[in-house]
Amino acid sequence: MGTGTTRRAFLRALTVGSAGSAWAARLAHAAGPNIVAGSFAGVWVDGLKAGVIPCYKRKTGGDVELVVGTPTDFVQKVMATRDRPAIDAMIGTDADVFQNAQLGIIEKLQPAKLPNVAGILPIFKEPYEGWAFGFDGGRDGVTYNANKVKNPPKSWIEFTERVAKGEFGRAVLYPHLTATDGLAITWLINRELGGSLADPSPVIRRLREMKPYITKFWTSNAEPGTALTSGEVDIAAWTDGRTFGVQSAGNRHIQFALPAPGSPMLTICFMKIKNGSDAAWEYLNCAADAKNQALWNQYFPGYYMTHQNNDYPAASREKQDPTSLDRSFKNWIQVPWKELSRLRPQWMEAWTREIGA
Amino acid sequence: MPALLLTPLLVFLLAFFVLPFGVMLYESLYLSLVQNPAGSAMTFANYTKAFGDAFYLRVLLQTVALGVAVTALALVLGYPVAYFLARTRSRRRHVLLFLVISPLVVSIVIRSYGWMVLLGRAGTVNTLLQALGLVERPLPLMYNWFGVVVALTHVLLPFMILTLASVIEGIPESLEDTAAVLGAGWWSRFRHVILPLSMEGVGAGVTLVFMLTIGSFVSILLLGGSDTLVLPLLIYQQITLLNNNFAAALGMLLLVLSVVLLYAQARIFRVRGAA
Amino acid sequence: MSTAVGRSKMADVELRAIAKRYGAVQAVADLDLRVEPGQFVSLLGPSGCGKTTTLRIIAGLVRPDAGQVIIGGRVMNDVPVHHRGLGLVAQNYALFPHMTVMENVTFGLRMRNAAPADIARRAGEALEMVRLTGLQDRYPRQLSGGQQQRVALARCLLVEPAVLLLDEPLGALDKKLREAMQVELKSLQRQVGITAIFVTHDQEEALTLSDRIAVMHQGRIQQVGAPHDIYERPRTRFVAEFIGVCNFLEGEVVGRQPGAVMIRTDGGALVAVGADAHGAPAEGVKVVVAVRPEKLVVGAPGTSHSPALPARVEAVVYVGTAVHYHLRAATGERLIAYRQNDAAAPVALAPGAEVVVSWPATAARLLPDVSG
Repeated sequence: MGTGTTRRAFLRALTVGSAGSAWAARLAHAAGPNIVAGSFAGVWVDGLKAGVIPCYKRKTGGDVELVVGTPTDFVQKVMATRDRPAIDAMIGTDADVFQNAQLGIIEKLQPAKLPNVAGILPIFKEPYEGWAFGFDGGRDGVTYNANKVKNPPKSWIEFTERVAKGEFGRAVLYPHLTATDGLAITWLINRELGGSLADPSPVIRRLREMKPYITKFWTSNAEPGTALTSGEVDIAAWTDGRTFGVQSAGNRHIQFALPAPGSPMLTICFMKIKNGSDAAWEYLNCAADAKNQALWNQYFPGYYMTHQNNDYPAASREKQDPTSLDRSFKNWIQVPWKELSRLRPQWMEAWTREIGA
Repeated sequence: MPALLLTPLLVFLLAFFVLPFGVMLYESLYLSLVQNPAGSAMTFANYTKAFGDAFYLRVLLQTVALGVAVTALALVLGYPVAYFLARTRSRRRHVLLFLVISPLVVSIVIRSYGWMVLLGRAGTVNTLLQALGLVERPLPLMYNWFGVVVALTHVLLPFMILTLASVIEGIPESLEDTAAVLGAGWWSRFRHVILPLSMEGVGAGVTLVFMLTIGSFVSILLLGGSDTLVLPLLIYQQITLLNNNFAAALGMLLLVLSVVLLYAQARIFRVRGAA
Repeated sequence: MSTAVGRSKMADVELRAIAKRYGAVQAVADLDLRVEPGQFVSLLGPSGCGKTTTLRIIAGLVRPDAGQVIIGGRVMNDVPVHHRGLGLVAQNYALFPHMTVMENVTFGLRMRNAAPADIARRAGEALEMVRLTGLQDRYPRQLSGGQQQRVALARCLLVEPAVLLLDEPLGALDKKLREAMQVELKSLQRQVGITAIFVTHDQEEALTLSDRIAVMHQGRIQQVGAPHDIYERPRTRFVAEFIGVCNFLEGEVVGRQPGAVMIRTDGGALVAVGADAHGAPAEGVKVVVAVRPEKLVVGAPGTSHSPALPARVEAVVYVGTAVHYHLRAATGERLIAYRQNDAAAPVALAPGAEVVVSWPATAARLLPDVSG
């Protein structure tokens, strides 16, 4: 433990510079309880500014400074400034929740400070063991060009077999393991092939057979949309919300299939950073509010929201897959994120060695 | 007081090179906090992993091979352009100069999309080849080594050309004239006069392009495929896994490679008879 | 390539109606020139007169728009530069800085794939001839200006070129060294017996070195002749002005006498100029009278030959070997007269003194009145 402490002190001394700017921003608004929160870029920011952030301002009189980036960026920042973290609240994927808990950089949710979380559907909070609650999400499936693929795969296994046979040509996208979707889908296929969490070799073997026909292992969630609409690929393992986005941009031939036995869920969660401002609880509570979630959803029609009373905007309802609105969660598959995030480095290593970049 | 003039640069280097380098070196000597939340003692474990494993050495080799390929291509393609740029008296020289640096004007993402439009399965090149009946099925021109080499050569060519041109410009044309009158054809003039006198430029250009290649990342991420595994991608993966420590050790590997090359450059690429 | 080595060292050069244009600039226009075998010919003129372009056309480094380059009886227009078998000594010598003296000197032979033993022997001879033996392993930057010059010459002569082309090769040297090198260059050329074409803007250098001088102006040859011919009998005002210093009096032919023509200057003075009968212009023709300053005789009023111009001394400049008088004629013309600083008692002239200026009729030249 002794080495750990001096090491952190050393790192803290070296990273004072990068953290300084965030502290300065906070001091400048010393009047109200201002917080710093991590968000994805672009429309995500617009979504938060529609409901969640105004709610925080109303409740506290303070403001939210958004740090835009990826969950990895936020974690790297917090890790370097653990005692006085540069960020008070962050979003992240299911995989990030348990990794952050393990790193000791997030706090368990305090129900007394988060009355709105009581209204979050159990399926979107129970898996996280009190470390986070889900905000929005999507499910993985198979997106395909209906002009080229007349008979989409009925199951994940069928998908892998047909790809490996070269039935779709070298025109297939599959998510990279560094993408959370990649981890989820690869885990599910491994399970279907008889593998276990400790043994990813069945899916790795299958992926090696598929590799000659996989145009690319995508790393950015936007890649499959471009590749499908440009004709670069005809079929891709991707998510529903993104697919609906591409569809609504006038690409009717881009269709989405939900293969058996079901679709892995991918949820974006809110987390409170340990040692961060207590005002961040109010920010999280605003994010757990049904109305604020609906306001956010205007920007992301097609993604599901997590509050039980969520009233989807009309545009979203029209695009939303009916099965995600019925709340029966039939064919929704929960990924064992806790174990998987712990084993992720081993899976990654196996992937890199056997499959490549 | 010329030393005083160097102060801003030295402060800059200290803040943005020496200090981060110190952090990197330090980090590389510990195990990841993700895997060892309690902290670890100082160890060479990251290095023994990087150097002792055939897999990582193969990636290192691939990185060097990519660097060599891109550098060689940039040199061969860039030299004639640099020579023309250095020697032309055309009033449209600035237009050519702009064309040369144009890849740098466009952001990497836009540039990569440009390559996708050209090299994709349904891209210009494949459509053309198929229309001409030269190929039956689209060629895989992208998401593989070919695409990476093309994209990197494209964006790094300006560095090679500009470096070479500035050196070639300094070679008096009278040397070429004299050589020609003495009986040297164009190849002999190039081989015996221009090339040896531009060796410093070749060295600088080669080093610059090689180092930029082995450190490049976004182009490879966007245009590479599963086979195009190089050190920067490996480092990126380790950072997404929050294993900064192993990433730091791999970074040191990249750094050592660069330093060795810099040293070699100073030794190899010298002009004979220079003061 | 082997033909070049074997060719006679004494080739003649002939340029026929050569023209070259760069954009709007006519660099060389309708140029004819004949250089006899073994002759040393200078192309002399101010910068931009086309002399370097002409040399580069002969070398094959520039392609003429029109005309023929004939060397040793062979039309060279389509022979590429490296097959013409010539030698070039460029400004600043253009020694290859990355090669030793030996490598520089043998460059041409190596380009011709000569046998190594042959190369070594001939290089040894060439180095001896230019007194560079022992320096063969030096790099150019380790040599003095004069030594570099000799390396350039040796490098050039070793290939036994048909013609030696010299592009202001002495321009970079200081005055003393330049004069020494002029002598050396000339004796070397004589010794080898090679045809040489020498480009320079330095009239003194041209006068010293050349068998013949071609004075160039605005892309054209104004006059070709032996040095004394060019100096004593310039055919245009430009030539008279460019070579040495000259006084000009503009006027009109008013009469003829045996062996002389009478001119009334624009200022009103009447002067005589020696002229042969058939070359003399008719009465009423506008002409220019040219007289060299050293031919003028400056004397006290009433002591002169005829014709004589009354003038006033405006300045006296003592230059050691001579005294220069700057004069203003009563008719307004400005004149300059040199008086040799010889044993005869100098005429005590001071600024402001009234004098008369005269000259032997045969010392003046009649030139057509075209400006330029």
